[in-house]
Formats: sequence, C-alpha cells, structure tokens
Amino acid sequence: MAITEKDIVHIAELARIGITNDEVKSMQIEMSKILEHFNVLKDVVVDKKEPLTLSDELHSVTRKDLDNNESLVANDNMLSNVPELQEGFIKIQAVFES
Amino acid sequence: MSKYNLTELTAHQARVLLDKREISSVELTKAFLDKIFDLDDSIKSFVTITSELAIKQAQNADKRIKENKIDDLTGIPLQIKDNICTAGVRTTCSSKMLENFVPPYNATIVDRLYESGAVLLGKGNLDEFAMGSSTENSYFYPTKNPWDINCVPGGSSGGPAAAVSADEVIGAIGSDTGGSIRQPASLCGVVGLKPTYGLVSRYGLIAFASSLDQIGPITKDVTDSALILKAISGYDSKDATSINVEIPNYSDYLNKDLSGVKIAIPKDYFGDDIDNGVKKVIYEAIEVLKNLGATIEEISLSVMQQFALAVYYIIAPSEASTNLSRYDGVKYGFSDRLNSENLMESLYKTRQHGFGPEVKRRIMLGTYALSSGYYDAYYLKAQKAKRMIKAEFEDSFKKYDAIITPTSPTVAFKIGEKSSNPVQMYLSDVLTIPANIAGIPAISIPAGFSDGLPVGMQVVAPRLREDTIFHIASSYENATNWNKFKPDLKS
Repeated sequence: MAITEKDIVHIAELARIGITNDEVKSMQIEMSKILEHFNVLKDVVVDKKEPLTLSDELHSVTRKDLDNNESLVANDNMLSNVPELQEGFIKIQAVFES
Repeated sequence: MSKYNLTELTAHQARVLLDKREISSVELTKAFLDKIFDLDDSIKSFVTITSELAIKQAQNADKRIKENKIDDLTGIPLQIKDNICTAGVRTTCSSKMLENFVPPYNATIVDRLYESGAVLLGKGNLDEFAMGSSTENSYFYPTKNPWDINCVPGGSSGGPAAAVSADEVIGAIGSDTGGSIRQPASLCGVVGLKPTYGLVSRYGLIAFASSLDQIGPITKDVTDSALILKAISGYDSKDATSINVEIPNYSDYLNKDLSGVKIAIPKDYFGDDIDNGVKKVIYEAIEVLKNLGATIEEISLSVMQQFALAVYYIIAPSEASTNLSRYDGVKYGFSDRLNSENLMESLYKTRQHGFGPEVKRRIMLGTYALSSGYYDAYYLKAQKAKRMIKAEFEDSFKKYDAIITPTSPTVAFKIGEKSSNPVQMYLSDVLTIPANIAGIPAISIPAGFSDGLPVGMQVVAPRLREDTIFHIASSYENATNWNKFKPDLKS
C-alpha cells in the first residue's frame, strides 16, 4: 500500500503532531519503506485465527472496594510537574472565545 | 586503598566482602562514583548521577549490615534506566518531553530495590522513550560502547549496558520491548535478561508498548542476574498484568551440568542476514553446550523468521501511538503553550517540538496502522499472526527445554552507520523480538568475540522457566568465562 504526502499530513493531524513541509517529504519516503517491509504479512493466512491481544491469557483483576488512600500520591506532589497552575487548578488556554 | 579492585566486583562477590566487613557500602559506592566521574565524560552512560542520594543510601546500608538486616542487594550500587520512575529523581526517558520531569512516586521495582537496601548511583541513558537499537535517539547524547567508543552500545538500554560493561556500576535495571535489554547486553559483552511478561511489575515503567514491555536486570554474570531478578519480581496489585506465582530461589538452579537438557537450534536464525563472525562464535558455543551434556537438535522456526519483525513494528508503534497521546503539554512535561495562540496549536507544537524524529515516526506509524480502513490489514492481521508465532514456540517447547540463537545479527556497529535508515536499524532486533511477542523469557550472555567486539548468545525458554535459562546460562558461563573479559578503558 503506497502512502502519499497527503496521507502523511492526515496521519500527523490524527496524531496531533505539527509537521513541516520538509518533514512531510522525508516521512513519506521513510514510512513507504517501512510499510513495504510489512507487505510480508499480506501472504499470511490467518483468517481462522483469533487475534491475540496479550501475550498470555489474562483475566480481570479486581480489588475490594475499600478506601485505599495510603497508596495515593498527595495532591501537591501529583501537581508538581504541571506546566502552569493557578490556585490549585491546571491552567490551559481558553477553549471558548470570550 | 582497598586491596580489592572494587569496581570489578559482582554483586555476589561484594556481598561476601560487605558481610565480612572487609569493605563498607560507602567505600564501594565512592569507588563507583569516582569511576563514573573519571569515565562517564567519554562513555555517556548516565543521564543523571545521584551522588548524594547514593552516599546516604550506602550509609543506611552499612547500618543495616551492622544490625544484620541483610538482603541480597543491601549496599550494592546500581544504575536504573531513565524510563523507570524514581520519586524525587528526574526521570527523562531521554526525551525533551520529560527533560524536567520529577516523578511523584517510585516504580514498584524501585521500591523493592530500596527495600532490599540497594544503592542508586543514577539513571541510565536510552533511546528516547526506549525506541531504538543504538541509544543514538537519546535527546541528550549518544552513549558509547566501552569496547570501541566509535561504536554504539546497542539500545534502547544502551546506558545501562555500557555502564555495567565499563564497571561504572555493579549492575543495572533495563527494560525490553523488542530486545532493548538483550541486544545492548550482547553488544557490550554483559548479561541481559528479559523475564516472562508479567513476572516483574511494570508499575512506574513509562509505557512504550504495554503488551510487550518488561523490566529486567543487566549484570556482569548470571548469578547476579538471578539475584536481581529475585529482588524485583513477584506479584504487584498495581500492575493488572502482574502474574501471581511463587518466585523460586533462582540461585538454586545455577552451576549444574547439562545432561538431559534438550536444546533446539533454529536453522532459520543462522541465515545470510547474520554476520559470519557472529555465527562462528555461536556454533562454537553450541559445541561447549554439547560437551556439558546437552542434547542439541536443529529445528525450523519459519513462521516467526518471516513475520515477527513486521508484526512487532505494527503492534509496538500502535500501542506507542496511544500510550504517548498523554503528552499534551498540560499535565506534565514539555509545553509549547507560550508560543501558541490556542489550546489546539499548543498541543500540536508541544508534540512537534517535544518528541524526536524516531518517536514521531513510530507514533505516526501506529496511528496509521490503527486508522480507519487500515486497521484490519495491519493491526488485526498482526494480532492474528502473533498467535501463530506463539504457537510455533509452544510446539518447539513440547520437545525442547530451550532455544538458542545469536542475540544480535551483528556486533556493535559504528555510531551513525544505521541512524539514517530506519528499516536497517529495525533489523537489529530480528532475533530478540519473537520472545517479546510470545511473552516468554530470554537471556543474552557473552559467548566470545568477532573483530574484537563482543558477541552474545541468546537462550529462550518457555513461559516462567527462568530456572531453565539460569541453568543453561550459568553452566555455559562457568565453562567459558567470556564474561570475565573487560574492555581496555583509558579515562
């Protein structure tokens, strides 16, 4: 499956990554080469196989619905890496126009 | 001055001297810090050196030893790969995105190491977000191979492998998603183990591809690998994929002869894409195993040889694309908001300028593989092929205890040699990826040299059969002593 520069722009948008025109060009070449390598999978007959989502058959893990505060990280600590805080809230740019 | 060459000690050798009070942990830790300050300007295996913390932990360890509250790793100085969270100690993933990130909590394995009294010397360099096979993708600097500083140490745990090889640390903790512990261990001439998926808690390991990621030890010998695995493995309620089994005393399986052990050699992994020098070393190693009593037979693993790489480079980037969507410049990490007019622009710019080229390439590859119209052709098909690969391993293990291959198709390559060719770089992992896809354990141990550079032998065993791995690896190590060779380092 060939990938076009237009596809690259679309994928970058889906991935929320800003991309320059030069990057679109080089990414188109690199991703085409990588996808070409994936073509080996075209010939695999897998139709009857169930997809394997985790390496081992795992089952849900539950715990008792109890107050478990001691394992929680304190609020201040959790917020210590936030780029911009205001009165204990995470500050972002306005979403609605004022 | 100690009468021992402290930085050459293994953990179990240091244990004896510490317990006899012939050396102290502070003395040992200082010897390593001196070595690091002497050498790491040229090796670049550390992102952060935690001198003060290390001395404090060493003092506490000495107190514990005095009080006879001794664990295997009490007072033992280690390095931890910088994608594993250490509370209060910067954890960068070697990315601009997390350059100033100080985790508010410890990874479970860090808690366990601290509880056992281990000493943290610092955090190890890696390919950004563990994506790469050379450590050239680190945002900070590439790490150099101690055997030839013009060569890469492998990756993504290149910092930890180089640090162990250069005697900057006793041992290290790495992570392995497609070979990131074993391939650098091979290229640096040290021992690297990827345990069974779920044996070691991933809580606090910054996620790359969650269904494949696993934490494991990088050490100077097989005994240390067993000791560190014992310390970090075991059930953790904070990791939903953690396996709840009793952890055996791995050291009980060391140093035994190999009679009755059946080993398979997959002929598909000795093809033209493997360097002749590497093949020669592994063929010689197989002869050693035969002499130790093992039965060796040739098998075929043609399904994984054909498809594993493609399956991996669909699944891992797909998972990465969702895992790394959390980096938005809002909650933590790099933010380009001040150069942006609105929230959406800030998101795009933060990710454009916070991630390096390989990380962006993989996020986009994964986004593509998961996107509408391509999901069935790529991701779903890869998940189905994954089952076939697992089945091929299971078939082999009905008859054999372990499978042996080279760890890497080549010895260490020159810095810059493959960095402009992603597909060429991806091929570095062709021998290690299948074990991640099947979730089974595998180790790389030093097996000799080609062109003066180390060659690693990979031993792969069934799920939760780390005992088999340690048995074969230690028996081979005892018979050969390749792990005792040291790079000639002039600081």
